[in-house]
Amino acid sequence: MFSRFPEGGLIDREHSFSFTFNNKKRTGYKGDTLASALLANNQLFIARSFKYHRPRGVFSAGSEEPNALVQLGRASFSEPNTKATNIELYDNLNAKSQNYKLSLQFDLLGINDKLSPFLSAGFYYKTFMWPKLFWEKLYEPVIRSSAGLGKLSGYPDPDNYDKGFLHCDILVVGGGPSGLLSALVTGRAGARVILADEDFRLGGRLNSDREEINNQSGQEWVAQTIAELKSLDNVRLLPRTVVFGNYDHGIFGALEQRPDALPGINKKPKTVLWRIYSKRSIICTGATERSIGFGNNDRPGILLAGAMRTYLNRFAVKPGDQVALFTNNDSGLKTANDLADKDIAVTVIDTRPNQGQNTGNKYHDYIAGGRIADVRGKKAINSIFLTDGKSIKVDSLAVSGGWNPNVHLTCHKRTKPVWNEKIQAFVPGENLTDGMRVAGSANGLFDLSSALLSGIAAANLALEDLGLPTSQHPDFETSVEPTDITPFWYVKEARSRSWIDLQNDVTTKDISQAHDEGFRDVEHLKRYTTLGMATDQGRTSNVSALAIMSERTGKSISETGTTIFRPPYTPIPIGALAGRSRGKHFRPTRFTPSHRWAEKQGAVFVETGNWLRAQWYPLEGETHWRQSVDREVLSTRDSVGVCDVSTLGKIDCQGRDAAEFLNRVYANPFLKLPVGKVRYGLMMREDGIVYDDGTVARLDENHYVITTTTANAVLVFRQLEFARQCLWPQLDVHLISTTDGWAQFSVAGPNSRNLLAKVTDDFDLSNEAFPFMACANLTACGGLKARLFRISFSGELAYEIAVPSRYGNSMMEILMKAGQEFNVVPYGTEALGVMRIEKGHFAGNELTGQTTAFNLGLERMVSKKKDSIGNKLSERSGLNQPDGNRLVGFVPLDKNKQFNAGTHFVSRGKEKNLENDEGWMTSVAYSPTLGHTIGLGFIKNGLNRFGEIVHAVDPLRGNNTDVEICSPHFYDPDGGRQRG
Amino acid sequence: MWKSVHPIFMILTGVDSVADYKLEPFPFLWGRERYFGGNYLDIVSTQAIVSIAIPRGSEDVFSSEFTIAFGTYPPEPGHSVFSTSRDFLFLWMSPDQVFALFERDGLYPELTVREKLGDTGYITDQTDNWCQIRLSGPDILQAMERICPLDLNNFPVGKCARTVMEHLSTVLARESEDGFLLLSPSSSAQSFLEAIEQSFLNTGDY
Repeated sequence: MFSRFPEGGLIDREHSFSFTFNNKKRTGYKGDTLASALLANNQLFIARSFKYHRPRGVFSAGSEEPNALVQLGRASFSEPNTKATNIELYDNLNAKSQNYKLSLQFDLLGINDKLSPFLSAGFYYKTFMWPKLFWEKLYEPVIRSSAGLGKLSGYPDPDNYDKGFLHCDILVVGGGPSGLLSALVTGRAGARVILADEDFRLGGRLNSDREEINNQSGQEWVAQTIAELKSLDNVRLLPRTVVFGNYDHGIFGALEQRPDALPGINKKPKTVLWRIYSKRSIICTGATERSIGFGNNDRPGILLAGAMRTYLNRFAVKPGDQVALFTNNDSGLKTANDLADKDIAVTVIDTRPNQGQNTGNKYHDYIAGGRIADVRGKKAINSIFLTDGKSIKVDSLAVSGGWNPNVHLTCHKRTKPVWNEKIQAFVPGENLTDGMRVAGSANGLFDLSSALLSGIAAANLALEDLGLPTSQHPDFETSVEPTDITPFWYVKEARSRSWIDLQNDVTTKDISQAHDEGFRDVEHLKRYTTLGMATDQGRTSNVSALAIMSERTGKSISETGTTIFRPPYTPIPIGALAGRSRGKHFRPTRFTPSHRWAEKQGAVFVETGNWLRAQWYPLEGETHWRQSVDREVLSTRDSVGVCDVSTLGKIDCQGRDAAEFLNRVYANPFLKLPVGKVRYGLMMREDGIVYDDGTVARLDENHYVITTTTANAVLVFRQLEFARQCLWPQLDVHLISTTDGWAQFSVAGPNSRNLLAKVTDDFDLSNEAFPFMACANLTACGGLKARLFRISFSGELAYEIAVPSRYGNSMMEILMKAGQEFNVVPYGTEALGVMRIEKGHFAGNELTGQTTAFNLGLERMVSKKKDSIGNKLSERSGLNQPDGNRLVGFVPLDKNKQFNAGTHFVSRGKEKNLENDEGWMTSVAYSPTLGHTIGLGFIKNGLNRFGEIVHAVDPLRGNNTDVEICSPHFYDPDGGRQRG
Repeated sequence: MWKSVHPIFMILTGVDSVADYKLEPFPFLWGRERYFGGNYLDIVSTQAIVSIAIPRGSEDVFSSEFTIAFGTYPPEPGHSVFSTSRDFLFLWMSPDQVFALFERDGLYPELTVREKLGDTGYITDQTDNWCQIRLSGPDILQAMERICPLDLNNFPVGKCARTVMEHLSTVLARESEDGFLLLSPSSSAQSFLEAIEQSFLNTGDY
């Protein structure tokens, strides 16, 4: 049985923690992982496997863990699929097993294991084909209910997450011996260094091994090195931080687990997702041990040899009194030695026939050339059987099939790893980008001395690149570490299933089957068997599987190749990726200048991009939005209404060549726009498609104000900057956004002039002095600078008055107060939309990214007396077919009927199908002015079809009606009101 | 320049006087100045911002006029510079654009700059386009690294830059060893402020 040694290990026995696993109270220590604490409590059976629901226990001691996945935390804090080997123990931790039906001990889905002959690799590609009726009714529900591992809580995640940005000269990934030394050398040289390691304790293998450096214990050397690193201001240590991705230009993604954020304790972010900008990087990510295939090699109590060494030395966990070790390499023997030194009876089964001459009498037994065929003990191993029939009683079994360098970060930018015959593993490929270097066992250097020296070498190369002084570090005296290996992947004599990928329940037989069925390429092998998928990404299994496949195909492993790794190195919670971007932090909110006033009026708001705009202003007694909107429209048309239109983009354009610039970016001419006048402008893309529309006001000889639609404010500004900087850099023209600087209000209706007369300072608003499309600088309310534009979106006599935006709220109040005698109303975006449809103005609904000036009936605006962006390509014949789509109006034949935007048009008498589709409705509103629904839309040859009746087909809503094609200008088509 | 640049009150029988309609400014951020431990977040509301664009082909003339007017050269790329009298702070914004920041003394800050520079540059009042936040204290960098992609450890006093923080356009100038001035669009000022506040709360026990 497993237990805790009374002393030793790197745990703090002064601080004991109480925790709960499957509702049972347990005790551990500060410095434990959940896995080490469970093992110390003799909890070997921890989880059920993914497919066959076989009992599983801790297999490794790091993020490569395929088995010991648990549900961590309670209720809404619960997090599925967390690796017990990565969880730093804390007081009152609560964890539960996952992936079972009923209980961990008695799992109904354990039946899958009995049915395994029917559930081999790729079974789901071949089964569930019939009867067809069963697919949705039976197969899918059953598969869905049994799929997956842990479960989401179903509640909003109460934890907080954050993101951040870090910068350094050199990023060292991995805090083992080579990483620590790289950081020390570069730190001493004055480089800005970040050292990140996923473990909460820096030191890597030195925390688990008993190697010495310069006659010091490894742990003493680590402590001394960390102390010096901490003393350097230019070095930042990030323990608990996994560097999960390598991106362009030396940018790395890293996830830091914050030690100060325990679940439910405080509101500090649980993790910080760092974007690290580095000039150089040194990858010291170590290596991961792999197993050997033999019968029932997945039973609880079977651990990787290196992991057992970690639990033994770092966590003082005793893995029983009798332990067996199965190895094909010298590293495994280190575990045997450490076990023996703790007076544990070790039986070594070494696949190599010629080893063991110098093992002395340390071991209980040493079997050279031995092989394990099978084990006994379903929920905890109790004995092993060798191929020669010999059985040995054991409390646990350690296995080592060799080590795979953790090359993942070197692959993220498509550098393929290469096979190294000597160490029987893939090592990083050449030509790594962005100044990346690899040191230590990540580079296949498994002995301590080589690892340290490679750390120094990588550090010096990085320093040299950065022009910083390199250092001649003295040689290290370390223990001699044999690292020989003889490849041995699986025991052929095994009769029971031999597991390769423990997380996905892939066996040697599955790999053979993939081969037999033609899925021999590594990418096919992976997808057919699910090898290497899920949370461990096959870190303990991939290479073994490739080796077995290469044996089947008769190719070398090098020829067989490997799949390539992509970010992330370990699973990153969605919450961590979202960071703080939840609730009010999800995205910025832009408020209009009169927002506070509108809020007081009880306005209903709508999101338009990031803006929050008043949609309508309900009055007491109004129970339906239409009542409010109809009232706002009618009141505006009857007297006067005010709308905050500050969200429209405003761009200040100045310069000697400003007129020429505008003439080139707009389709219509601008050279002769007089000072004090506004002109409507149509802007096209290079391809002749309409981009945006708006107005341009000339305030002075070389000073214009451009307005854009709300949605395109940023895009238009960007497009204009591109034109200014890249297309015509010789022009003297300067742009700056003033969108946020001015509060702008549309004052519309027959009494708009009278209302404005009350708030402007001695300004002649008469039609003669200030006609339609005039503009001016002026003052308002006793001296405040303001701008006035006589433009109309509603079709009424209308103005837009602008004041500095901090006066916007006050301006709205004043307009309402001054307008009381005219029964002024505020109106929102709904009424604005209704009035623009009544007037026949197009807007975002009509600009689909495929709309041309011809479609809009504005082809004559595209001046042929000059060139402009999109001018030539707008002439393409396909865009100007006589029977092309035209923007027209539609009214229902039966005025009581309504229709919706998105409705398609089909000529009367024709079948309602796509072939006969002639266009679609883009904008629809109920017109309180006309008393029925109206719509704008595109229909073929529309301008020549006024009076024709067509079907408006709406199969989605089942609402078909007949509509009459008419002019898009439903209201005041001659424009008398806006000019009045 | 203006059709009417001085207040003129309407005195018409039966019509309200414009004096009844006095416009009151409403700050973009208010009442949110606060300490986070030894760090102070200050809302700057009295400082004008005026953009000066340099006419193409007149760069030398501009530089000369600028130097005469303010006693200093225009700021170098990525830097800010004070006028000799230290009443104007200039931020480099782009190859042909400088922001002038100074205490606002009226409704027409652009005229203040115009008086100094004459017709040498193209002037635009930017005061109301931006909210201004001044941060000072020992833990600013720790908080800012949660939202600011710039390398602020390598951002000495006198440096300025444009960047994006929490999706929001930001102008950032280092005023002192432990002090920064931040500008961000006024319409999203609340979101900007909340992002900064959250960064302090996430990084310290305040």
